[in-house]
Amino acid sequence: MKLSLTKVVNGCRLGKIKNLGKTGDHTMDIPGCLLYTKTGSAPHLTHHTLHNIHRVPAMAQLTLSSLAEHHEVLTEYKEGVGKFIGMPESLLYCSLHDPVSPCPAGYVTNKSVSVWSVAGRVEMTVSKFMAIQKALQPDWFQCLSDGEVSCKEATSIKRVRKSVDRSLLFLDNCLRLQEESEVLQKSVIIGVIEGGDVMEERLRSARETAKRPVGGFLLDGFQGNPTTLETRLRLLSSVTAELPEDKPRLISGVSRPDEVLECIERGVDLFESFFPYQVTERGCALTFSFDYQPNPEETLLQQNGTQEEIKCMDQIKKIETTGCNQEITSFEINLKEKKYQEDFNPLVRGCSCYCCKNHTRAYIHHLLVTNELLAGVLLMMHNFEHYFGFFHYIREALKSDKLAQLKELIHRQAS
Amino acid sequence: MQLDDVVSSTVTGPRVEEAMYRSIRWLDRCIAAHQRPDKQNLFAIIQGGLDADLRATCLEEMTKRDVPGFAIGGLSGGESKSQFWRMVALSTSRLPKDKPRYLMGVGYVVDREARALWEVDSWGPPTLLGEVAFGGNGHRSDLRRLGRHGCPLGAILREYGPVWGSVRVGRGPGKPLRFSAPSRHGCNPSYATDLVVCVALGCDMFDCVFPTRTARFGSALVPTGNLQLRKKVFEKDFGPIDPECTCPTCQKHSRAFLHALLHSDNTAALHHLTVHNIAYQLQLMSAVRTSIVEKRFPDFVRDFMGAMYGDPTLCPTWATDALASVGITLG
Repeated sequence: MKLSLTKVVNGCRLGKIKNLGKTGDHTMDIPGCLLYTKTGSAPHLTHHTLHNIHRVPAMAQLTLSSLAEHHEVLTEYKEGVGKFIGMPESLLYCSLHDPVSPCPAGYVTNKSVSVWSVAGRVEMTVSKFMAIQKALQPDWFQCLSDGEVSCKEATSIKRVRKSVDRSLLFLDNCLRLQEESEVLQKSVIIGVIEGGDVMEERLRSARETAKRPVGGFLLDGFQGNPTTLETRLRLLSSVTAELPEDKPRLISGVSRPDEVLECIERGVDLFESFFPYQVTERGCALTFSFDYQPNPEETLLQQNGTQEEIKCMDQIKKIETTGCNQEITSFEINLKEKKYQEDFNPLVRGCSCYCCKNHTRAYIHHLLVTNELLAGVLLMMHNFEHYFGFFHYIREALKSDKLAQLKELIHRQAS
Repeated sequence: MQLDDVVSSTVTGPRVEEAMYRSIRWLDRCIAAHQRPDKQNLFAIIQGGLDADLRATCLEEMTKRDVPGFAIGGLSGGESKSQFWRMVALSTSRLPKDKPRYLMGVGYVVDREARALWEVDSWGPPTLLGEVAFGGNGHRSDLRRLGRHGCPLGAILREYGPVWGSVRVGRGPGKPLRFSAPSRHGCNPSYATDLVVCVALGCDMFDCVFPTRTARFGSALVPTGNLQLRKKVFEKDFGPIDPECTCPTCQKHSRAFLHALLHSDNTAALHHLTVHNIAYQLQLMSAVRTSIVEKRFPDFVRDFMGAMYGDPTLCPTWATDALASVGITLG
């Protein structure tokens, strides 16, 4: 695996990671995102519908919280989780938790970490964790770590220190077990940077983790809402400054477009793509513009549209959806609203996704009102395509030194 | 389809007659109001419930009207299969041969006693073949004999409860032993049977919510019945739903993966099964058509019943009777 940077501008890293995967012939662009999955499948999508989406990332994110309970099955299967889930051609990254469902606190000990699945709690010691990874055989996996500090409100410095110590201990033990296994050596361990909101601990975690032979770094504990991220951005810069340039930096729990740009400016390379999924679950479609160089007519039309939408956004209600009690952002429209009943436009004019090429807002509205499963399928297709398109434009903007314009455009649309 | 007045097939009394005559009057009003007969085909719907006289009257009247096709209605309720097939046969016998016959809502069934059929190989774990409608009980002594062959009956007992049934013993080494057991889960084991029998009785087109609805409940249709993929027995079954099926689900995914996905909250599992069940249906009807064109439909029916029930003679009585009425004998 080799990370080559094309350029670094204002802290943003543009480049490629080459020679990835078991056969060593995959490539990933950075900045980039990973395909979000639930139990090894893109939400709502079969192989066929997933492949109707353009620019699907080369690497998919699996979560241990959805797969740990199938440990026995995967062990007996022997051929690895990629083949089991029907994605043998994809690169796979296995994270501990699902970024959408927060983890209940109080379950990390000096010897074990717990993940929460549908079946309940799965407790893992280092050896059980590595045994599971042996059965999964992912290309990359997040090392066992103590990320509980971000689950709680006010954490004592003692607890923060412990999270760093534990995570380093877990890392060293996992590396040791990896050395003893040919199978595990084919996977790359991603070291986890902890340290809560304490600068000293963050730096310690970064420096110490960087000393170990990990393949990349996961910046943990920055998840939350936009305000909490803002206060942590300074920490983020300091952390990435300590990390080697030639290894990828992932961040967990950050997926909103505005937050993504802030993190890229502070040296982050890879993101999770759960935001489009959350948008789908509340019956919404991503509509934010990322074309920082549209033709003048298009700009005016979009602006007019945006103004109308801003008027309606004056009362932002909390939308209760399946497991996501999140507010609607200004990056999306809520197709459940009555005003879309006879709106025969596509979700986004000019969008190249299957949904926008074949269906209208009115139709999606109808599907939502009648509780049809197809609503989720079509919205997921659009939201993923829109989001992956956004990342493509980030890379294009970096290539042509236009990131400032893109940032301004996104900022204008953030509520 | 015309606007009709449908009553449940379990309703008796003057309401049935009222609905039948009203449907005729409404057919006439539909024909008169139809403004695009060159672009849209208006079908009549034969009513009359389970009363042969009423249905015959409806048939006589509606066939006097010049419509491009006829639907057979009022038969997807809780009626017994024995009454059901007789009304279908009566309808098809009195409908014109040169116009399509559309049986509405086939395959909906209530209160069937479903039994699971397994193939138990002496040297391997049992594979659940599907759920199937069976007739009578069997012998407990046969079951004990099976147990001695070392197959993990314990697992079956835990999953399905007390097991009994008739056992067919294979003739020679490696031949699978088969036995049946009651299933706790409701299902429609006779959906595909309904389709095949009604084709024999002279129906051309069918519709039903069953294949897609049962898919959303985790049930995959196979030639031997159906597989309830949520059940633990599929947890480590790494084969496809049906090795002969060419649908995308069977090409790419194993029963084990679908089992795991069904226990998650990802709706993708439901879509995989829906695709397969629709493919199953299309494949079945295609095979029916080919067998008719090649003049071997009765053989096709016998093979179909053999796969579904273990032996053509074990198919439900109503189906045997219905097929006999059109000259198809089983076994």
